[in-house]
Amino acid sequence: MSLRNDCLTRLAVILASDSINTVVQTEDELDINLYTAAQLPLIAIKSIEEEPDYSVGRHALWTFGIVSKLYFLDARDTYTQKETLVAEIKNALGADPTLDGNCEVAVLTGIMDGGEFPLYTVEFSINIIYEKHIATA
Amino acid sequence: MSVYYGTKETIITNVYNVLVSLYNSQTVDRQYVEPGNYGYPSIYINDTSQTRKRILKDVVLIEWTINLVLFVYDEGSTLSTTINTELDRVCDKLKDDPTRGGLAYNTEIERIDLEFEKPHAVALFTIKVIYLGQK
Repeated sequence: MSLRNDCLTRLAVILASDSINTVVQTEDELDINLYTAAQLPLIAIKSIEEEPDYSVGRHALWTFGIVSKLYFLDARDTYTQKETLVAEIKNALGADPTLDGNCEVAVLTGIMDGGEFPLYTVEFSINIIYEKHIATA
Repeated sequence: MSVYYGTKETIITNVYNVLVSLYNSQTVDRQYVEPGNYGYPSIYINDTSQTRKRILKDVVLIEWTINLVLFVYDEGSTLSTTINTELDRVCDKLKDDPTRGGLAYNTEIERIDLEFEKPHAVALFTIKVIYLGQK
């Protein structure tokens, strides 16, 4: 298993916090219509890009980007659920910034609200940074 | 999770009960019938259309349009006052609980059309109830 896959696997474990019922990994945009209400809140993890930040000799600091999209059902006038879920995810990431030693650091770079009644989303942009020989990264 | 579901049957029962609390069971009906011996004011409930939007595999967002037809009768010169009074009563009662007893997310009064034909006046309420249904 590659380091990248190790990071993604660990990230899936971390994001499966108390309130999250389902975590899936996806290459494309998730078709949420395939899931039921009982499976929400759901997080879809999608890799978006990977590139070296700098190279020293044959080593490079690599960064690959992840978008974790949280889906949940809620009424229009309450935001308590969103706040709870976002706090849980931020705390879970903050408690394991190296993804169990698989990377240098996993950095939350942005959080963006979306969706509309009754299905809401929160997108977490995460950069995972690790150092590896460019031949084996 | 503050999500709840409704059905047409439970929601229309709520609308019916709300209107019965204003008038009485004799002058509130589920089908459009011209008032006869029942007396005035009287009100009739007609469901007209709905739009459905799939949200999840087992959840549908439904916007259900219902028409309420209110009849009043006034032989005097205050027909417009009479219909306006009844209009306000119905609007206030519907707005008391837009969740229809915790079954829907909103009840919107979209428009009210009036028609006068002395000594009768008719008000047509177009209301939209927004709720989640389960497949």
